[in-house]
This record gives sequence, structure tokens and C-alpha cells, in this order.
Amino acid sequence: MKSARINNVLHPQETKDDIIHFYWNKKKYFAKKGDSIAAGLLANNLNIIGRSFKYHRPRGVMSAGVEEAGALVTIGFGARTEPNIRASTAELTDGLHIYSQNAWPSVKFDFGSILNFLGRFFAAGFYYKTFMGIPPFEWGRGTRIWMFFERFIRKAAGLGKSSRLPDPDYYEHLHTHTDILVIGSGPSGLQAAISAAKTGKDVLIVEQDYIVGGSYLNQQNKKELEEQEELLKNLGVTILTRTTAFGLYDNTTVGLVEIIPLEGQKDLLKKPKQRFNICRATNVILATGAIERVYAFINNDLPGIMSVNSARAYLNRYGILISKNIVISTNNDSAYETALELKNAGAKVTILEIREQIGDKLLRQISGSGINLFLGSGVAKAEKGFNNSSINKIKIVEMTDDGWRYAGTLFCDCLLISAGWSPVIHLASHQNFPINWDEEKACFISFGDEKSVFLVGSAAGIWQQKQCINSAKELFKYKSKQKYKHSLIKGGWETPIAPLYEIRLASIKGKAFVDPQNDVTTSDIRLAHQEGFISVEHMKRYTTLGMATDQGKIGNIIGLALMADALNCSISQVGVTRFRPPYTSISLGALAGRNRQSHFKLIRRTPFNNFSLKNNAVMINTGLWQRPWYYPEQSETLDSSYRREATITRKSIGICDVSSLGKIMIQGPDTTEFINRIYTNQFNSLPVGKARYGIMLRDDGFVFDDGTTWRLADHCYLMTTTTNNAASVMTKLEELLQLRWSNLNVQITSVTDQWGGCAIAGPNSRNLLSKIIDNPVEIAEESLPFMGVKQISIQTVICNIARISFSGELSYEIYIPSDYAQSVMELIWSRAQEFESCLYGLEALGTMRIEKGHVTSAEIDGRVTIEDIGLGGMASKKKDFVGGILKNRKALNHSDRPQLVGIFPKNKNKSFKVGALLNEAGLSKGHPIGWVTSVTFSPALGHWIALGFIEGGLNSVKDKNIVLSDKLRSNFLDVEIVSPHMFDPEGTRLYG
Amino acid sequence: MLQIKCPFCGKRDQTEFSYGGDGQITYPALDADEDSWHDAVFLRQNIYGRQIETWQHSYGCRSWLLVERDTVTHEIFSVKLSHSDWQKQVEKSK
Amino acid sequence: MVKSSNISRINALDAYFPKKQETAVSAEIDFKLVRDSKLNQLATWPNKINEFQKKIKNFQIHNDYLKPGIVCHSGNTSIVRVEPFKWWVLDDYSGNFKFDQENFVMNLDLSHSFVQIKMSGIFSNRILAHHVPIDLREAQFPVDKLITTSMHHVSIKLWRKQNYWQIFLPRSYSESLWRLLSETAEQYGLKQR
Ligand SMILES: [Zn+2]
Repeated sequence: MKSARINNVLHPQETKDDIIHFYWNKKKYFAKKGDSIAAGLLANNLNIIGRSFKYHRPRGVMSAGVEEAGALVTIGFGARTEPNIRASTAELTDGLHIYSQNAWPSVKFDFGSILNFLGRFFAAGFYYKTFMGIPPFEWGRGTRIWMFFERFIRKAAGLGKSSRLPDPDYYEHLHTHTDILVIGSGPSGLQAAISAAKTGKDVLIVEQDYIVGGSYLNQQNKKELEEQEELLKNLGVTILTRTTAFGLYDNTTVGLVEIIPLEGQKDLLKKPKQRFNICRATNVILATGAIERVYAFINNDLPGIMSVNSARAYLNRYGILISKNIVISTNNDSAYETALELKNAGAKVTILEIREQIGDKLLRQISGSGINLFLGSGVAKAEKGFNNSSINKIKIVEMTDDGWRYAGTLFCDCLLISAGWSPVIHLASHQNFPINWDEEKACFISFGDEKSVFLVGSAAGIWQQKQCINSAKELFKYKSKQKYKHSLIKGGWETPIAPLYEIRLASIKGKAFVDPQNDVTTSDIRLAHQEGFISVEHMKRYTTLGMATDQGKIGNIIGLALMADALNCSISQVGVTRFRPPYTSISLGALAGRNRQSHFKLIRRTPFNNFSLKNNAVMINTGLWQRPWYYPEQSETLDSSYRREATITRKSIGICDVSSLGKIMIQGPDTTEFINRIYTNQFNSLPVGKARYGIMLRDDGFVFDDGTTWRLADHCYLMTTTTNNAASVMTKLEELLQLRWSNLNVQITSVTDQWGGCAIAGPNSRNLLSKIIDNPVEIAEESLPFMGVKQISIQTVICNIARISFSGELSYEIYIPSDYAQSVMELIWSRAQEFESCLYGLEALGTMRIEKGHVTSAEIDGRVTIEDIGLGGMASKKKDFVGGILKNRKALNHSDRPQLVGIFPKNKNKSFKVGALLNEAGLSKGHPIGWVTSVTFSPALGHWIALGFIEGGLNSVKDKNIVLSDKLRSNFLDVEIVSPHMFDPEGTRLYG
Repeated sequence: MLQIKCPFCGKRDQTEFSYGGDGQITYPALDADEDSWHDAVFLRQNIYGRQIETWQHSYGCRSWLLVERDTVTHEIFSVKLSHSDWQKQVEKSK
Repeated sequence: MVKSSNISRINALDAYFPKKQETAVSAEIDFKLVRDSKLNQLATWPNKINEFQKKIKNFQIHNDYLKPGIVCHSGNTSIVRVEPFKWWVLDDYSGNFKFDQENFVMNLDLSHSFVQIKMSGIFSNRILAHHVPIDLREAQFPVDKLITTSMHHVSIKLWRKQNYWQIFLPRSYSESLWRLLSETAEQYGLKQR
């Protein structure tokens, strides 16, 4: 094959600026602006682009569209490497670096092509069979050989390689709403958009190509295209080029990916590289066109073999004559116009027509043109030349009464195939709309759902351009009713197509490809049939037909036809595999959009965030929240810091940010009744101005959440939840009020962000607060006793204060309106300097609560009952509450259920970690009898302590020797099981 | 991508909602016997076709909804606020 | 800033980006922060709605306040139904709309719960469209409609005003969401100082 640019189609206005350069495997070449990568390569007569997936056969450009199965390349370098780019559709930009793929050391001499001769071992189902051994002797059965093979296969099979570096580009999402979305900007799409816009609707038209026009672009006369574009512009229709509609979803939602050209001011304005556009349209018009098919014969994958229409595209769109010696093999009328154009461009053209006769109109067209026409003939085999890898000659067959007969050899360096057209019905298939095989047109046809999704033009199996345009007009004829209707235009050819999927002669051997990208051959399909994989969905997975990046856009129908033939039935009986999104491959970056790195999970910050950072806090993520972890002084580590913080808090004062606790305002006349049903313990006796600790269960009787609830007024309670469960508690309460107890007059609102919460703990906490609040008498023991709640003012800012304690010390929680919180905190902290005081973080908070045996989500993990955590006494027997019935199930009340305990190491110098298991000494094998949930060094006790669960609880292991084992870290030690209330069990410190 | 027509907010994208569960369960009284609670909490049909399910418009008006949906085609036939008095009043005010 | 002795009210975005969030003004896109706003929530129930309506009548507000998401005005104060039985009262500095000790309506101060941003400029619809799954065309989303939707799995509120959008971001998420919005806006000419 010798392809080259011809001069007579250059536009007169073209200048030097239209010349661009690119690098093919690091060598510099020149091309024209507007070229696709494939056009640029072909203009330079580069026609061996890559090596095939499995057999490493040389492959060239096979098409000029998205169906490309041969010319896959890698573009860019470094972090911007993009593998598996279709050369046939990607725009060639100035200075682009393009590399061949899957070839070592080069595309011309590929070491892996030896696999071509080992083809017997790589047939369909190779992977599955290798697990079982290779017949006939199940050779290789067993893992070691398999592992050996796998390494080899993985290296050999595959496409391009991605960079493995972080992607330096931006991606983003966009939501688009429109009345009518038209997909495809060919003759039918443009007309559909024009007709739709004339009805006054919002219309968006998307085109995957980088210019508008579809099949107009492949024609010599572009006048009609220019007129239609002008019309669209005047109607104000939005056109998005470089935008692929990759999937059709429920409710006419269409996934679009828009590629934003690299050129221009990208870096200046941080433009994204791709945009994932989620389009919700009232109506979707699929004007997606049709794809020209090939048929199977031996070596039908040789470089130099491509579809007829692609030769036309290269000629008329790019000004490239694909070869000077062309053979066209066809079974339908569509190839003849191209034949004439190629002939006129200076090529020698021979047509091998499968049909025994063609229409008079066609005959008249080509007679006298100098084109050789052979009726009733086709190609059985293509052969490559001696000194190159591309096509050199073909073996011709002719139709006789007994079938195909060898008829001779023909030299040529380019073979163009047209075995019919397949409408692009992929998007209709995504939604499982009806798809039917049309015998006359030899293709699958869909009409969409005929309510909101319609197909027009060749996507609906209409072949003539004029009739395609009419079909788009027809759709909008019924505008008064605002109901669209499919046109009944048929639009076939003068002489019907002669269905053709394979030419095979018993005497000619070799590989005939069905799916060239995945290297699936006709014999693979027959093997699948022979081995019982006769359902098309099974055949697809067994042979991998249609599972490559092109999703079998050329080859699927051949596969179905061969299976139908083997089963001796029709294609409509065999059916079609359902297409899945995406229509063409899309990058993961586009789907991720901006939701990566620091935006992957949003960050929640408390009102004290800046204050904490200013005071040297090391922050930690808990869920989405950023919370202070510890506040190191000078060279302190986490360990020394939290020990100091806990010590100073117990000795004098510690201040902690507790804003992330969930806060729910519960209001209304029936609130008391509501809260009384939610918590296990009594709340109807709670007076205004008091708080109570409560436990709530799930419907199934397990512990759901805990926290304190403050009665602020008669009909107004503030509930606090754990940080983890804030959202799910809110949702559950709403569900109860709206679905189950709709007669209760209660309203709930999340106020988590309304207040910044800080705990001021330690024996001196009251002394500190007395210096801050406007009226110190309000917090005296008598007016604010333990569990008391009150509104106080600090410099006239009204805050809620509760005397509650998680640390076990005399302690207050103050809730400050968020915008004032930082300022109030600064005031508190400045006055705290008059005492021995510290800020403490999550780690010290954890230490003090473990010392006290208070549970958190580490213990309340969804598998524990209220008895398991030692709070069975909080389950009221005088009232009903959520989960109260199912908590009484027998299995949940066995005495040997794991129960909360404290754990001390017997050797007080030893430490251990969370997740360690507990066993009886000498019985360390098998199922453990307990485990460790929370561990800390206790400054108050002077050694490591833990909370955990053990079967039967404290009493059942009283006289037993318990061993703690952490097998991952090889840590084994004797432990003592104690009450979870490890420090100040009487709670005297709560009173200062 | 489902679109659910919230009676309060109008037609919205699925991403604004969270799925609840079976909308045909009647939860027994808090003091009902263990068997009826067992059935309400643990027994579920696996319906092929139309079913009533609960959804919450969690990123919208926070309403709990009863949605009648086909589990095969995803077609939605009706959406109501689960709180019947809310549904009546919201209908009236539109 | 509201000064009360040495305590000051600090907007979350002022705290996280001191003097930074007010961006260079351009015709394309402009953000402004609403400071010291007042937001009070009124909540009622189906069987109390008549009493509630009687009370609201005193303020001569258009009856559209009963329609979901339609903002109605009384002087500088605005009222809008945000949930089936919850109304938001914005900028009620007179305190007229506060109904203390009434059993048919509950008050709740939410002034500190949200950060409010005004976004204007020819690209403001486009910037929102990158983040919310909402039809922002004016026919579907007219002036003085206020809706609740999700932005990156966070519930936010959007209010179309005459020449700009007013966006309510939950305070704790505001810094994160603001970064997301402003990074999106950069391609339309927003310059980060
Ligand atoms: Zn809603």
C-alpha cells in the first residue's frame, strides 16, 4: 500500500500555517491542520501502526471512525501518556508525540509475533482451559505451570500502558438540562436539530468528532453542510463537538464526555481537560449513523485492508489517496460512489461484487469510468508481500451453483470492503429498547422507546441521504400535539444487499478474523459452538468477541451470523448481546471529575479550627471532621503530649473541642413523649434545666447510639449524638416521626453547625468559668448541679452550658453560637493562663474516657446489646421504647455473651494494641473468648489499660488466667480482667 | 439515573435521595409481641415488578416518601409524602 | 462585624481565608460574602397550620409563602417554606416574626448554621451547573425561588435573586465547598488572590 496526499483537494486559501508536525515513534513528520492521527500517518505512507492483542500480527488503519480495531496508539509522554487512542478519530495537534503499542522491539519486527504460530494454544477459552491443563494430556495442569504461563501471557497480551504517574490535569462534571438532545451531527442529526429548534424548544446537539458534519465530511460537495450549519447558528442551537454520548440511562439521562482541546490558554485559566456532562433531556434523538461492516476471509486483518467508506473519508476529508491500485469487495450499492471518486482521483479500481447483478442506475454510473467490475465474486484470502507486512495480492472466488470456487489471484496493494452497514443502536440497547433483525436490510434496527427516545437517518436503517434527512423532518411534523412520531421511510438501495459474513474454502487455510482487536477468529466462534457456548452472551464471554476497546463495532454481526449458521437458524433467532455503556472508552479522570485528592472527601471544620491550629494542634480526620488530635509542646510526640494533657486536666484544667458531636433540636408539644419512646431510660421525669445520658436501640434490639439530651424548655430538647452517628440518628428520628408516629407534634432540626462546643474539665474548671461568665453565681454548685443545664451569657453572648462529664472530672460543656465561638474560646484560653491548664485533643479525651470505662463507637459497633456494655439497668421496665421487644430475644440474653470489661497487663511495664485477642492460658488456639477494643496509657494509673469484651464478663473469668495475644505483632502477655470503671469508680471527682 | 418527583420539591435527581426500605411494612406498637416485631424487622419480600418502597429526600426537604416503583424497569408510578397529613396539606398549598 | 465588648462575630470563611475570599471583581464572575445574617426557623404541624396562618396574616405577606420554595417579602424580611412544615425567616431584625411561648409554632435560631455567598456574573449559572443536578434555566427556576439540593453530597440551598444567586452552605462544610466552587470558577476568569 502506498498512500499519499493528493494536491488537487487542497483548499486554495491554505497557507504554511496549516502545516503541523508530529512525532511517530520519536521521528518527525509533517501533516495538515485538521488531520486525524491516522490521516497524518497515512499522508506519510505509515501504514503499519501496531501489533495485535494476542497474536502480535501487524495491523494498520482499518477505518476512519470509532469502529477502529487496528490503529490504536499511545499519545503524549510522562504523566500525560494516554494509551489506546484511536488514531482514526483523534485529532492530530501540532507537536504531538505518537507511539505504537504492544510491540517489542518495534512494529516492524515484533518478537511476540511468534505467538502467531502458537495460535493453537491461544484459541477461545484459553484462560479457562489452562486452569484445567491443555488437551490432549491435560498438559500443564496444576498451579506451578499456570503461574509460569500467566507471567508470560500477561506480558504478551494487552494494549498500551498508562503512565502510573498522578494525572496532572483537571477534570470536571457538568449538569445540562435541555428539551431535546440530538446525538450526531450528520445529515439526519443536523436536520433533526433544525426541525426541533423550529418548534421553539431548547436543543443541544453533540458530535464526537472534532468538527460538525458526520458523513457530510466524507463527501466532495460540502455546500449542503455549510447551509445547514448556518441555519443552526441562526436558530441558536448549541453544538458541542468532541463530545461523545457514551451511555443512555433511565429517564432520558445521557452521559456525555467532552474533550477540551489542549491548545490555547489552558494553563493560564486552569481549564479542565475533559468534562463529564450529565445531560437530562426531555427527548433524545439518536442520529448516530451506521458503521460499515467487513466480512471474514483468510488474513482479512492485513494492513492495507479497510472499509470502503474510510477510503472515501481519507480522500474527501483529508485529501489522501489511500492507494493507486485498489480492489473493492462489496455486496451492496453504497460502495460505487466511492469507487468512482477513487477512480477520478487517479487510482486503478476493480470491484468484486458478490451479487450476480446490480441495478441499471449503478451500471450506468460506472460504465465508461474505467472501473473493472466482476459480478458474483469475492475474496477468500489476502496475502502479504515478500518484503513488507501489508497486502500484496488476493485470492478471488466466484459463486457457482455448488458454492464458492477459486477463480484466480489478483495483485493489489489495497483492499476495501463493504459487507453492509450496521446502524449504531448502542444507546438504544443500553436501555434495553426493542431491537429487531431486519432480513431485507441485513441489520439490527431499533426505534427507541417511541416516547422519549427516537432514531433517525441511517441509525434507523435508512440508507439514502435524502431520505435520512426526511426521516428527521418527519419526526417533528406533529408539533401541535408535542408528540413525536417515527417516520415510516424505508430508504433502501436499488438492489437489495446480498447478506455476506464469511467466505470460506476448505482448500484455503489460515486465520479469518471476526474481532480483530481481540484477535477472535472464525474458528474461535466454531469452537465455542462445538463446546456448547451457543447463547450469544456465553459466546461473547467465552471467545471475548466484542470485549475489546471497540466493543466489536465491526465484528459482532459476523460472530452472530457464524453462530446462526452453526446452529442452522437465523440471526434473529440467535439474537444480539446487549450493549453496555460506554459506547467508546472514556477516562476514569472524567468520571471522577473534581472529586479527587482533597476534594475526594469533603472536610468539615469546627468553629475552633483556626484557634486549634494557632495553638499548635495536630489534626486528625474522624469521619469528615478535622479534629484536634493533640497539642504538642516543643519537641513532644503524640505519646508524651496526650499523657501531659490528660494529667493536667485531671490535676487542674483541660479544654477540648467537642463541636463535632451531633446536635439535634427537638421541639413541639409531644417532644417529651417522643424522646421517652426513643431512649431506653425514663425521660418524662426530666425537669427543665436538666440533662440526662440516654441510650437508644435499633428496632432489632441492639445498641444504636448514646449521648446526653438537655431539656432546655418545656417543649424543647437538645439531643447530642456521637460524631459518627449524627446523620443516621437524624434520619432515624425523621423516619419515626413521618412514617410511624405521624400523630406526634414534634419537629426536629440539625443544629450541629449552629454551635461550637467546648468541654472545660478538671477540678479548677468552675474557678475558670467564674472569671468568664457575666454572672458567676449561675454556675455555683446549687444553681448548676451535676447534669444541670442553663443559658448563660459570656460578654453578652448567650451560650448553653451543661455540667456533664466524659472525662470523669468536674466538667462543663459550653455551646457557643458558631460565629462567636472562636472569639469566646480565645477569651476562655487567655483567662485559663491564670491556672495550670492545657488544651487537650482526641487522644487525651480517649485516655480519660477509657479510664472511666465510657463506651464509644469502638465498643458500640452495632453488635452489642445494652447488657453487653454493662448498662442493662438503663433499660426501663416501666415503659415501652424502640427495640425494647427484640432486645429480649433469648439469644441476646445468654449469660455467656461477650461483655464489657477493663484489662490490665499483669506486668505493668508492658503495652499492647487494639485488636488483640483474649484466651484462657493454654487455650490460645481456635476461637478467642474475647478481644480488645480500646487501649491507652493511663497517666492516672501509671500503666497501660484497655477496654474490651470477654465471654460471660468479669465474673466468669475471675479465677482464670487470661492471656492476651497479638499474633501479628508477636505480642503475648498475661492480663488481669477488671471492672471497666478503672479510675474513680465512685465518681467523686465529678463534684470537684 | 432515576428521577423522583418529590411532592414538595418537584422532580429531582436520584442523587438527592436515599433509599429507605420496604414501604409496605406496618410496624407494630412498641409493646406488641415478639413475633410481630420479628416479622416487621426481618421478613422481606424480594419483589420482581411493582413495589412500594420508602425513600428520604435527604439532600432536599428531608421528607420521607412512599415511592411505587418497578424493580425491573425502574419506572416510577407514584410518589407520596409518607406522612399522610403532610401529603394532603402540601397538595393543597401548591 | 457585630462587636460586643471584645467578642466578635466571625464568619466561617473569614476565619478560614482571612481577607481572601473576596475575589477580584469581574463581569464574568463575582463572589460576595453575606456577613452577620439573621435566620430564624418557624416550625409547625398540620393540625396547627390554621393558627399559624392567622398569625402570619398580620404581616401582609403574599400567600405564596405557603408554596414550597417561593420567597415572599415583608420589608427587608423574607419568608420561605423550606420543608413541608418549616419556614425560614431571613433578616428579621425587628424580631416581628418571633412567636415566643406559642404552642402552634416553634422558633429556632439558625443564624450561625450557614455561610451565605452571593454569586453574580454571566458565568454564575454555569459554575453552579458544574456542581448541582438542578435545571437552572430561568423558566424552571425563576427569581425568588429557593431550593434545597446537594453539592458534593452536602445539602445546600440556592436562592435566585434579581441579579445573583444566594447560596447557603452549611458552616462546617463551607471552606471545603468554597474551594470547590472557586476552583471551578477559575476557568471563567476568577483569580484567587
Ligand atoms: Zn423534597
